[in-house]
Amino acid sequence: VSCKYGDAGEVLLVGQANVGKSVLFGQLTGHYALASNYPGTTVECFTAKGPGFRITDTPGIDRLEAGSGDEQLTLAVLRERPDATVLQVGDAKNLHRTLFLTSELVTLERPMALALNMADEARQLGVELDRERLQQELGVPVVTCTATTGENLEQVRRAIRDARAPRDPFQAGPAWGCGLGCPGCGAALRADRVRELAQRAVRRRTYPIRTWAVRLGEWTRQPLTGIPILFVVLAFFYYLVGVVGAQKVVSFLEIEVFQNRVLPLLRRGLLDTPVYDLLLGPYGLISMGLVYALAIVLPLVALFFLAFGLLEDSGYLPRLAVLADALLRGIGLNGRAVLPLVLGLGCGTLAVVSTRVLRTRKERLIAVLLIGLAVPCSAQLGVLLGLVSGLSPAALAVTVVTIVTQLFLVGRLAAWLLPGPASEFIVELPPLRRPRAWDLARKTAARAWWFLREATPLFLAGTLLLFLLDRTGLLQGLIAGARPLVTGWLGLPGEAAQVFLLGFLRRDYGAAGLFALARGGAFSTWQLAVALVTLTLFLPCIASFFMMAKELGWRTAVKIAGFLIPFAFLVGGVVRWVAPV
Amino acid sequence: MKEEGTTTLSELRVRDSAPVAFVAGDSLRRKLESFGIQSGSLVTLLQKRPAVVFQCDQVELAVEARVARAIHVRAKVAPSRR
Repeated sequence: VSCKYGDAGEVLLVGQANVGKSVLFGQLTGHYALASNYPGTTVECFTAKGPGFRITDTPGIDRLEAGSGDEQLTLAVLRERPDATVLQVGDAKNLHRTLFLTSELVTLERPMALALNMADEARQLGVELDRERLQQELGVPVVTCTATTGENLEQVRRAIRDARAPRDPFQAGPAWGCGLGCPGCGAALRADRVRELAQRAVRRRTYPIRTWAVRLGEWTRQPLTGIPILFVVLAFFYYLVGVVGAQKVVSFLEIEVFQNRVLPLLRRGLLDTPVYDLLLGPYGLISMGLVYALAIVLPLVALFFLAFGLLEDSGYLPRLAVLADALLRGIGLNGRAVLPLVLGLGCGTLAVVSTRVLRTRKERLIAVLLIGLAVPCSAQLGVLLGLVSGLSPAALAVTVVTIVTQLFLVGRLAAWLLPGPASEFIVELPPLRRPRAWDLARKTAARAWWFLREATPLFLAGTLLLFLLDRTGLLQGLIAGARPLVTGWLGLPGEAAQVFLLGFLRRDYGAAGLFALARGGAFSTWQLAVALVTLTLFLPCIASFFMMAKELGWRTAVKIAGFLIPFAFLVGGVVRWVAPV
Repeated sequence: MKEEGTTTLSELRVRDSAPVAFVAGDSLRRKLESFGIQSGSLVTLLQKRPAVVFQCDQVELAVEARVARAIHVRAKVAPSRR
C-alpha cells in the first residue's frame, strides 16, 4: 500500500468549510462553481472534467463524521468512490485545523495530496510553512496555493498526479499514555500529535497590527456598532433593489422598452395572424409572460443577487449570525439559520436547499416552514419595495409588522410543537475580504441565468394556462368562484383573483401581476396592504414546493402547503377586518 | 464542577488569553477539536454578547454561551465576576 500511486483519473476535493474548494475547483476545471466567503456555500457535489482528470467538488466537512446533511454527502462520495484520489484543500494560515482533518483522512489509506490554500493571506499574517517537512512526515505531495489569483495552480495539478497513499505520522506509539489503553486516550493522543506537527511545520509567526478589515470585522459583530451597520446594509439593499431596481430599471424596461418599442413593433408585424392573441393579447405569452419575466422580475432578482453577493464575498453573513443568534433562538433556530433565511430573501428554492447546513431535522423543518411562510423572495421583495410608494405609512407599517409577527409567532409555535433538541451554535467567522468585482459579476450573472432558465418556462406555462382558461370561459368562472374568498373575505377587487392564481405557479409571478394591477390603480392603499400580506404569507412557488418535497419528503411538503395556503388567507382577512378599509 | 486553577471561557475577561484545560462533553469536544481547539490550545476571548466570540490560532469562532461554559481554561488571571 505504501507506495501506491493514485489513479489521477478521479479526484475528490475534500476539506473543511470555507477553505476555497469551490474556487480551486473552478480554477482546475474552468467550470464555474458558486463560491463565497461563508462556510456552507456548497451543499451539493459537482463533477467536471479538468485536464487529465475528473474532479468533484464536495461540501465542507469538519471531520470524518457527519453532523449535517451536506457533510453526509461528502462522506457518501468518499465511500462510493473508493479508488478516487483525495485532494485535501486546507487553510494555509490555519495549519493546525487543516492537519486535524488530514489526520483522519490518512486513515483511509488512499492516494492523497494536500493543497494549502489562501497562501496570500498566510503571507500577510507572517505565517511561513515548512512544506518540505510536511511532505516528508505525511508522505504525500504538499503545495501552497492561492485559488482566487491562480497562484501555484500548476503545482496543484502536479500534486494531484503525484498523489500517493500517506504515512500516518499521527499514530500514538506505545510509549505515550498511561498504558491502560482506554478508548478515549488514543484519540486524545492523536490530537496532540496533530498539534505537535502543526507546531513543527510553522516556521515563523508574527502578529501584524490590526488592519481596517479586522476592525470592521469587530464592529460588525458587536451590537453597539453592528446594529447601525446592519441598518446601513438594509438601506443599501432597499436603495439597490427598491429604488434603482423597482423604480428605475423596471419602469425603463417595462414601459420604454416593451410597451413603447418592442410590443408595438410586434403588434404591427403580427396583426391579423392567428397567433396574435396567444402572443400579444391580454394573456399573451410575450405581452404578459415574457414582460413579467424579463422586465419586472429579472432585474429585481439580478440586483438582489448583486447585493447578496457583496455580503457573501465580504464575509459579513457569519457576523450577522452572531447578532441574530439570540433572536433566532426564540424560534427554535440559532445563528446558523441566518444563511438560509437571508438567502430566502433572494430565492426560496435555493434557500430550501441551503437548509442542509442546519444540524437537526427540527431546525430544517422550522427554517423551511418560515422560508415558505414569511420570507419574501427577491422578486416579491422588489415588487413590495416598488409598491411601497402606493402604501400609506400606516398601511406599510401594518404590512411589515404583520409579516414579521407571523414569522416569529409561527416559528415560536413550531419550535414548541416539534420534538427534538436544538443544536449548539458554533460558527466560524472568516476574515472580512474585499469582494472582487469579476467574481461578483460572474456570480450574479450565473444566478440570474439560473433564474431565467428556472422561471421563464413556468411564467410561460402560467400565462398559457391563463390564456386557455380565458378562452374557454373558465377564468371568469374561477374568478367568480373565488369571489367569496377574494372579494367577500379579503375585500379585494375581482381581478385580484388572477394574482393568487398566478401566485400558485410562482409567488413572484403573482407579485408581478400585483405590481401591474396596482400601477393601473386597481387597489386602494389598504387593499394593497391586504393583498401584499396574503401573497407574502402564501406558499412561495411551485419550484420551492418541489424542492421542499425533495429535501424533506412529500408528506412534509404537502403538510406545509396545507398549512400555509389557508393561513395566508386567514391572516390577510384579519388585516382587512381590523384595518380601516 | 470546577477544578483547582481552572475556569471557563465565558468567565474570562474580554481580550484575556488562556490555554484550554479540557472541553466538557464528548460530542462538543470532538466538534471543537476539528477547529484546532483542544487541551493546550491558547484561546483569546474577543466578545461576550450576544454570542461569545473567541480566537484560537487564526480561527475566529462564534459560539453560544452554553458552549463557552463547556470550554474550561487554565486561568492565569483571577476570573472576573459580574
